[in-house]
Amino acid sequence: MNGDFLAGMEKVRVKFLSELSVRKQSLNDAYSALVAEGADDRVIQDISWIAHKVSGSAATLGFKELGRQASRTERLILQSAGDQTLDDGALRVEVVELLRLMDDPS
Amino acid sequence: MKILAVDDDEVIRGLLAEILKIIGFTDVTFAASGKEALNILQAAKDPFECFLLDIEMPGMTGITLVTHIRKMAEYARTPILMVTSLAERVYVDNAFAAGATDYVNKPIDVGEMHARLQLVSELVAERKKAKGAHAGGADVALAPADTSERLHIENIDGVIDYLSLENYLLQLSRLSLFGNCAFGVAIKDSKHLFQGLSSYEFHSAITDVAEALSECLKPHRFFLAHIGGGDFAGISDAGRQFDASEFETAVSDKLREMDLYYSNGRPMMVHLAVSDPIQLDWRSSRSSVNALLEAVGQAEQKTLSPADALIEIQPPVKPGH
Repeated sequence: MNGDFLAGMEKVRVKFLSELSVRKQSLNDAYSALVAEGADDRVIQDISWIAHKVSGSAATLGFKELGRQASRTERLILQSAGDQTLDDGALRVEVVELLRLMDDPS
Repeated sequence: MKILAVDDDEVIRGLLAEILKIIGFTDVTFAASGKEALNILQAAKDPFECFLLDIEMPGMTGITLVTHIRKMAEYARTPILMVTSLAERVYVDNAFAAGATDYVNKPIDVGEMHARLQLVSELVAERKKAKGAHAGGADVALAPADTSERLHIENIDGVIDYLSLENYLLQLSRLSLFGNCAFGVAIKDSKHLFQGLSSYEFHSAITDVAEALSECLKPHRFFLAHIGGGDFAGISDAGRQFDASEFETAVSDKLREMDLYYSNGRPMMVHLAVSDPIQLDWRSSRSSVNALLEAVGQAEQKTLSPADALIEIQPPVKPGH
């Protein structure tokens, strides 16, 4: 790989990590709401959006496990979209794991 | 190649910029939303030659953006690659139905992106060359038709370009091909039927047939492409319910009802043959693409009269025998 490319990717990686801490905070808030109020539409939408954003770039930047976990969380929500079959417990498990990996993405 | 890439995520835009640079594409404009992309397109002096679009964006989704782009005459055929982490079939179907040319999954694989864009770049260069050859000549629509050309047909449900059909099939094979079948359609005696037609007349005739096929393939989920001459290839989720002779009859009835004419007022009698469906259930991606052409070959065979078919399949007689 050429040096310029690696330097460019490093800049993107730094940007990703700084955004990740903001997203982690938002996901923490959504998780608290999920625990306190259950899976209402707004909370589900927030979690799905954050997971979608993380899954899009994490694996390309080398955070493969984080990318996989974000995809898994997003898929769980998408698969149950519209039919009210989302299992709150299963979603909580996925979100906790996602938060753990966002804390330590390497 | 002049590229417009649209993604609401700044990190992805940064990623794309680096990846595109390393694989040799430096003329790239970025937009953060569908609305911004449309403004850029309206202001552009030179048209863009390729689009890379995210799907899930706030405001306007990438799929809606495809529909807007395809409505602009200068972008009716410009390659559009969806670059997304949404891999579910509903998104793939909707993207290709709206007019996407290809579908690239995130996380972005640099090698895969390179291969896809290389193909697109070759296609763009070929089209530029063909456009240059036509420039300054007589009215293209009135020129004699090149009936071997794969036509681009617009505004008919499920009818897409052949390249998009292949890409759709490749994408679908990553999910599941189970329950889908490939089929081919060939117009009988198309050589004589289309002999002497202008480009415009040929295009109109093929579009009419495509419309009849599309109507008769509903309500199943399907995609269909013209592949030159009087041939079409398609894929349908009718699977084992796909009945070739029933479909053939329905299309023939539809064509009779449409009452087709040549430009000189002579009626155009179109008869066609439909291949038996080839079930794609467990096929690999490459083999499912081959099934499309296999199905068209079968349909062509069926267009031959029994005597012609006999000549066709008999090996040549060696001299002295």
